[in-house]
Amino acid sequence: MKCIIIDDEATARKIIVHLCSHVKSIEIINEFSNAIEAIKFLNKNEVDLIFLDIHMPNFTGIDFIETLKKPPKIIITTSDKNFAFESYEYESVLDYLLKPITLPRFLKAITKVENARSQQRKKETKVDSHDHLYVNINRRLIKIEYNKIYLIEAKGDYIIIKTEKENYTVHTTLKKIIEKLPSSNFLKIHRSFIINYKKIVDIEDNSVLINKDVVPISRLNKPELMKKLNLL
Amino acid sequence: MIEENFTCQQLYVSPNTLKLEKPNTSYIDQLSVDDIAFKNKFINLIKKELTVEIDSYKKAISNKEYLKASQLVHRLKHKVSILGLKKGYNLALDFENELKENTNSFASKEKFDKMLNKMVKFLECL
Repeated sequence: MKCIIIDDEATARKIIVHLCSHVKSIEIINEFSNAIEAIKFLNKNEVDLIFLDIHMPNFTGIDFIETLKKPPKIIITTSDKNFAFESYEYESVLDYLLKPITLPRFLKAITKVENARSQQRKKETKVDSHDHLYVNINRRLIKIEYNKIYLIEAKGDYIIIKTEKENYTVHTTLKKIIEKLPSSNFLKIHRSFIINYKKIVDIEDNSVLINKDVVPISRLNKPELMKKLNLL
Repeated sequence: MIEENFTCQQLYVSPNTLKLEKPNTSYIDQLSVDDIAFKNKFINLIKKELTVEIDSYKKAISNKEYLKASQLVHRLKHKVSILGLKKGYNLALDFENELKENTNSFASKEKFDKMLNKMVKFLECL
């Protein structure tokens, strides 16, 4: 499990590094004394878990969480009980640790993260075990294979699923369909577009050429797309 | 900051015989288990960081930058807890809030400064 630590206090970081040394599955890949540096790092690297100090000057842990489009699992570390309640509003926050952190409490938090990761893997395996989905069009259930889809576009209350042979208009949302698609192929790159990124022809500035369609990439989604590509 | 002289014997107290609140290494011992190398490195790090933080705190107070001072007291609060000062934690919390509210009275300042002195002296004795 790849982790980073964000805390403006060196003593606090040292404690977490030491506590992590008791858990074989944890690999600390970087430490940051401010959240801005961590954001730059996360734009280029994937991590599974962040130990995040909530109370930092200028840019707080809450500000940090709000900038992340697809946050990994987060364990909040804090000297204030009050901040913990606020942080629990975020789905990615699995636990909060009151400083100074003790080993038994730390291990309990890690167990929570491991359980959440295991549940997530099960969910992903379920999606990945299929190679197709059925869509309801005019009361007919039509089978569409994942590898035939190159683009999905939102149009009001509908989505258009584009394949090389034909397009399908379905009454649903991008949010619902992305849950059914394997993350190993599909990625939302704009509020109105999901692409099969294995079918990208080229990328220029803030747009992607996929089949014959040019699709915009939003500024917030671009780092996630760049991480998925096998860049030379 | 009020200067007070403490001897190491006056400051050292085993967690089991704790009567009056004094700094102790109970948490540090628990964290280090039997790793003496880690314990020494960790204590050195606290000493180093505490000195810097106290200097910044004093500077912020003398410049009347009370919000900045409250952030520094917040950071110091963690070290107060590391050294086992439970009442000291509440004192630091009160002082942090006084600084945030900028009441100008700062009723907890004197006690807080005294506690910082105790912490520094205690770490020097380790």
